[in-house]
Amino acid sequence: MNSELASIIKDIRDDLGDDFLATDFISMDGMSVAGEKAIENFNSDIVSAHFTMVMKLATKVSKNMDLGNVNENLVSTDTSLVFSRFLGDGSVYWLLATNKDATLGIVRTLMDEYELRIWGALPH
Amino acid sequence: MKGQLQDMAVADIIQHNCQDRKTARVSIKNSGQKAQLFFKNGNVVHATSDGLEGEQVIFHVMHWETGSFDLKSDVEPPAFTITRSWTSLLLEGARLLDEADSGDEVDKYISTLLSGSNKNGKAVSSPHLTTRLHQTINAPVESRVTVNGEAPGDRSTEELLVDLADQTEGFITAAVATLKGDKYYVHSTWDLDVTPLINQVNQFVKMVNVAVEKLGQGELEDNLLTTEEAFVLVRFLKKSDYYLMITVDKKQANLGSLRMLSRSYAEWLGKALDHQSKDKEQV
Repeated sequence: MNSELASIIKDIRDDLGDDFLATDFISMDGMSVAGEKAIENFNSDIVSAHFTMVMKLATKVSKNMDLGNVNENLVSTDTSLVFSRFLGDGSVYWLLATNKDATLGIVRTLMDEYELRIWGALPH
Repeated sequence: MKGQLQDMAVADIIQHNCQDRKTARVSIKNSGQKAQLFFKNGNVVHATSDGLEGEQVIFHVMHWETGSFDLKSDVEPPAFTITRSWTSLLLEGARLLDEADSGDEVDKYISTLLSGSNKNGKAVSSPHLTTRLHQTINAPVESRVTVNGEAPGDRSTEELLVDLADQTEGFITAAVATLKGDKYYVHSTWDLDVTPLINQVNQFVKMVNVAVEKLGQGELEDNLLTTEEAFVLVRFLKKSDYYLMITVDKKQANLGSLRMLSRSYAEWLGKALDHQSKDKEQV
């Protein structure tokens, strides 16, 4: 992981505090480019592979219904929120998992603030 | 520009003006209350409402879900009472709203809203506002949603989908389907090729289920897909193989309202489907 990405992830963790569970920047082939977790049982390889399939199928559904490009997918479970947001040209997406206690609006605003910085720091 | 808060939330209005680096005045009305927000080169710099001014007004109006707004460009602010960045302002407003939603924090929230001082430095108090906020924030989710003014009763799945369409701002499509794709009900304002669409949505929902399982962080409650044009919300019906999918126009939709409606209708649709299957068994 390059130092800028490491620095961004640290900033994100600091901003989210105890609400942070895990984050990964994942290319659309299902491989994680960089990431970090605060929970033991988070398997980045497996999660990246499966959420990439979610994003690909989401894109198909949106295309079928003529709803435009996919911006973001948000999964809510009884204990967590999982945001998946396309970055830059859509070849990479950002997965961010937080506690359910996290405020949805705040996380989204935080993602708005960081997404360009992340895209700029990713290797192209 | 004029509009309704149901179509564009206060937070969205602030974001829109700031990102467009506008100098403007936005007048907002809500149930007899009025507020004015002033923007200068893409920052919120001043706000007033019934004797209040500054940040408190922003936190106050962020709670307004209904009413109207009127934007006039190139109006200079008469004063500068807000120095915080607009992103920080929205974050703090969202945090206060979130705390208020936890119930125990209602009093804290209201006192925060009302703790501002007016121009003369006197504490501002509004019993009417306090009562209204208490009533709104403490109301159970279901009581904030009405179905044509009456309880859902014994309505069929089809009737409930039509009701849902009537209740949902920017409604496009609602579908109730099994993951197998063998049974589904669809109500849509668009001409859709339903069978292939349901098959594709089924694949998507199945994969969300698998991904959540692999994630190991709780049971799936709902999935919200945001595209350029729409929100697509999927929620499983309780004790049922069915899920509910609602698609709405992003420009017209109110996301908070959509999620509340989906919770209520998922419950009612689950009951309706349960009744229908029991009726079939009896036949």
